[in-house]
Amino acid sequence: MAVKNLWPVVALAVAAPSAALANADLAKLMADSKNWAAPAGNFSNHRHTKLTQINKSNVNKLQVAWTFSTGVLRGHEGGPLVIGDTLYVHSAFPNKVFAINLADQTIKWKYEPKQDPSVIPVMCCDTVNRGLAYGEGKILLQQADTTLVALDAKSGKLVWSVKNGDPKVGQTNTNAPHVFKDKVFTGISGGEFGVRGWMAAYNLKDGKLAWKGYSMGPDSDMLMDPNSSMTFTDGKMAPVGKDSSLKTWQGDQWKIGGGTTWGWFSYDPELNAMYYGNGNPSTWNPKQRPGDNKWSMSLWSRDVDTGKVNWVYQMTPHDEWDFDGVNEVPLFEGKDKNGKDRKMLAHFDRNGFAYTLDRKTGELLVAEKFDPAVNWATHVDMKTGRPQVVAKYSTHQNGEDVNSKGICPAALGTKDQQPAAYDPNSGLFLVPTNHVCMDYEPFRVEYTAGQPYVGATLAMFPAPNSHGGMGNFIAWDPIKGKIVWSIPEKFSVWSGAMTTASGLAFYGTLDARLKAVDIKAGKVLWTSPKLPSGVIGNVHSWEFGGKQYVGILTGIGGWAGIGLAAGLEKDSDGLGAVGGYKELAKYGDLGGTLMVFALAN
Amino acid sequence: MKITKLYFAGAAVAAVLAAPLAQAATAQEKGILRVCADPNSMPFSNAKAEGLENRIAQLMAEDFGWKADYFFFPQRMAFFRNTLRKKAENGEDGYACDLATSSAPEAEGAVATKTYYTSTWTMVFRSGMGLDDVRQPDDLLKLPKDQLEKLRFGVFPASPGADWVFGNGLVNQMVPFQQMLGDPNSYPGQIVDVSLVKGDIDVAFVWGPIGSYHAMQSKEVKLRVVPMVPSGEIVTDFSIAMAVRYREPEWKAKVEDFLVRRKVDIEKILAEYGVPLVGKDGMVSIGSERFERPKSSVATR
Repeated sequence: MAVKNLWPVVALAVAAPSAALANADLAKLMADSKNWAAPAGNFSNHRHTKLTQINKSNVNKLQVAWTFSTGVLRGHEGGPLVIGDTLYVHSAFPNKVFAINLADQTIKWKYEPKQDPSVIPVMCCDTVNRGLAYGEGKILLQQADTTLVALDAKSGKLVWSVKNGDPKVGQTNTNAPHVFKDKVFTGISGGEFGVRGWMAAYNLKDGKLAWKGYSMGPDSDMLMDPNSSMTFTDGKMAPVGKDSSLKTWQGDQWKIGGGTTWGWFSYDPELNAMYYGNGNPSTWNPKQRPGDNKWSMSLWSRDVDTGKVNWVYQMTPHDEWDFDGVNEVPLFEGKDKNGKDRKMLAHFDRNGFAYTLDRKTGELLVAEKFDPAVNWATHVDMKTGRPQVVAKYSTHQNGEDVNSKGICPAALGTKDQQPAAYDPNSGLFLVPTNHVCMDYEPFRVEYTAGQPYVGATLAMFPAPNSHGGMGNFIAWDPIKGKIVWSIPEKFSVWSGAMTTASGLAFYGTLDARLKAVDIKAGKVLWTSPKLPSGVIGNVHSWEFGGKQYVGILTGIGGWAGIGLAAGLEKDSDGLGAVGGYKELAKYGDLGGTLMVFALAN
Repeated sequence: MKITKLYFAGAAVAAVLAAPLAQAATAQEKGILRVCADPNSMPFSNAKAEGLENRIAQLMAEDFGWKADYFFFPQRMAFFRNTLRKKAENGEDGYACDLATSSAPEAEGAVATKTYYTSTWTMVFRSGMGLDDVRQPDDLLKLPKDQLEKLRFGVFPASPGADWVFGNGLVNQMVPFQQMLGDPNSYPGQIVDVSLVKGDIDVAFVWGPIGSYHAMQSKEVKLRVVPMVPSGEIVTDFSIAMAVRYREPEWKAKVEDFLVRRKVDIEKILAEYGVPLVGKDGMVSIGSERFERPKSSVATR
C-alpha cells in the first residue's frame, strides 16, 4: 500500500530509425478536410475544417441528417473520427467503439471491451472518455481501466493491447490517445488518489512502451536533462538544473504528487516535439506541501522519439485552488507583437490566464486574463513568469479556519478540458469558457475509506456583477492577449469548438443546442433545434458523397453534468460543480447520441 | 455477495432527476433495514458483516423488529451517490439501501444523523523497540537524536499525522500512503497490519478505530497504540454519524432515537473492537488504558 516503487524507472528508449511512415500517412489524411482523422482534426489541434459548403448565408438552413445512439447513459466527451467512408465513434464507460458506414449509416463493426468494473468508483468525475485516434490502419482506444488497445480499422479486431496503468492504485484513463509519428501517446488520470502523472509513448506497431516521462520526481523519472531541458527564468530561457522537481517537495511527497495528464496533446513534426499540460499537486493540503510543487500545473514540450523534456513552464506554482493545467495546447504560426515570425502555442488555463509561448524555445510571450472576472492573481509577472497572487484569495495564506470567498475562477476553471478552436484566417482562437466563481471553505470534515480528516468544500456560483450566466463563448487574440468579442451563455460552455474556412465557429451548450457563430461579427447565426441531451462533446465536420456534415456528440455528464448524471442535490456535491447547474434538469436527461447536421438537398 | 457484481450494477443505473419522496418506506414497510456499507473496511464493515457498524446495524434491526440487509460499495469518492441515492435495480423498491452506517457529521450528498461516537487519530508502533514509554507523539521528540532520526513515519495526506510530521520537521522520514486505493482488496488498516508489522515503517499515524483494531489483531508482533493530541491547527478528534437521504426526516428521527436509546449497547460494541473513545474531558480510553490529554484547544469536528 505504500507508494514506494510502484513503477520501475523506464530507461530512455533509443530513437526509432525509420519513423516517418505513419506520420506521412496520417498527415495526408488530415490534409484532406473530407476526413476528421485525429481527435482535434490535425496535429496542431486547430479543430478547423477547410470545408466551405456550409457558410454564413446558408447555415441557418442546417437540418438533422442522421442520428446515432451509443446506448450508454453517462457523459459523452470528445467526438468521432472520420476516415474516408467510415465514421468511428466511442461511448462513455464501458467505452464501446462503433465503425459506421457513412453510405447507409449501418454499423460495420462494434467493439465492446470487457473492463474491470471496479474502475467505476475510482473515477472522480463521471465515466467519460474523450475519443479515439487513428494511425496505420488502426483505431486506438484508451479504456477507462488504463488498457490501451489498437483495433483493426477495417474489421474491429484487436491488434494489440497494453496496460498503461493500474486501477488498483487509483490510476484510470479518460483522455483520447494521440498518434504522432510512429507512436501512440497517452496520459493518466487519478489525481484524487494521489497518482503521479506521466506521459507515455507506445509503439504504434506493437504497443510496446517506447518511453514514459513523469510529471515530478528525480530527473531520470521525468526524462529531464538538468543541462538542456529549459524553463523560463528571469525573463529568459535557462536550464532547469539538477533535481528541479525534488527541490520543491518535502521528503517523499512527490511519490503521490499528482500532475496527471488527461487533456489533449499536440505535435510539431518539424520540431519533432509534442506538447501537453498537466494537473494539480494531488491530495496533500496546500499547507502540507510548501513550495512550488514542480512540475505540477505546467506546460511541457517533449521530444517525440525519446521523451526528453525540451522545455517546461509552470503556470501555477503551489496550487491552492484545485486549478489544473491539463487543457489543450494548440499550435500556430505568425508574428509576435514585435513583428518577429515565430512558431507559437496557445493555452487557455483553468486558472483564467491565456498563455502564448514560443513553442520552439518555451519563452513566455503573453499571459493575460481571458475572463475579466479572474481575481485570484492580479497578473502574471512577465519577468519571472509567476502569477501575482492576491492575498485575500489565497486559501493557504488565509489559513485553515478561514473561508476564502468570491475567488474567480472556481476550481473548474475559466475553461476546463473542452477544447478551443483556431481560425487560421483571422488568427483568432474561439474559446468555450466558464464564468463561475467560488467560496472555498478549507475546514469541512471529509470522510473517506473510513478516515475522517479536515478537507475543503467549494460553493460555486455565476461570476457576480456580470450577465448572470455561467459561461461565455469568446474570440481571443493570442498576440495582443485580448478578448475580441464575447457571447454570454446561461451555462458553462462545456463543448469543444470548431471553426470553418467559411468563417463560422460552432459550439454546443449544456442546455442542449448546437450554435453557429459568425467569427468576424461575433454574432450567433444559427441555433439548432433542441438536442436529445446537453453537450459536453466536441464539434466535428467531414464530407461524404459531396456533402459537408457537422457532427456533435451529445450526452450530458462529466464534471458539469454530474448532478444530472448522478442525482446530486446539494450545492457542494461533486467537487462543488453541481450547485449552479441544478437548473440543467429542465433541459433533458442523460444519453449518448451523435447528432449529424447537413444542408438539405 | 460479490462486490464485482455490485459494481456492474452501478454502471447501468439511470439518473435520479427528481427524487421521489419517502421511497424508503417500501423496504421499511417490509421490515428490512437496508444498510449501505463497505465490503472490506475492518473494523467498520466487511462483506461477512463482521464489523462494528454491521453489529450496530444488527442491533438496530432487532430493536426495530426488522431484518438487516446489505448493499456493499467501497466507502470512497461518491459513496452516497453509489449507495444511498442509487436506485434499486428492480426500480420498484426505491433505493439500493437506506442507511449509511458511517459519515462525517456534515455529510456531502446526504443528511448526517446525530453523531454516535468520538474518536481520535492515533500513533501505532511495535512494542519493545525503545518507544514503550511514549504516551503521545511529542514524546518522540524527547528521544535521543540518533534514535529519532532512524524512525520512519507512515502517514496519509491531509491527516493530522501528516501535520504533526511536517510541523516537527520530520518530513524526510515520512513514508506517504494513499488515503484510498482502487483495489477492492485494499483497506487503510494495511498501514498497520502490513507495513508496520513488516517493519517498512516504525510509526503509523492512523485513525484510532483502525489503528487500535489492527493492533489488537496483530498476535505475533505486539503493537502499542497511543492517541494523538490536538494542538493549534492539528485537528485529531472527530465524531462519526450515520447518514440518510435528503427529505426523509421521519426516518432520520427513527435512527437518531435508536442511537440515543441504545447508547450503552452501542458503546459495548465499540469497546469490543477497541475503538479509542474521547471523553468530554478530552481523556482518551483505549481498551482498559486511559490517556490524559490537555483539554483540546480545538473543538472536536
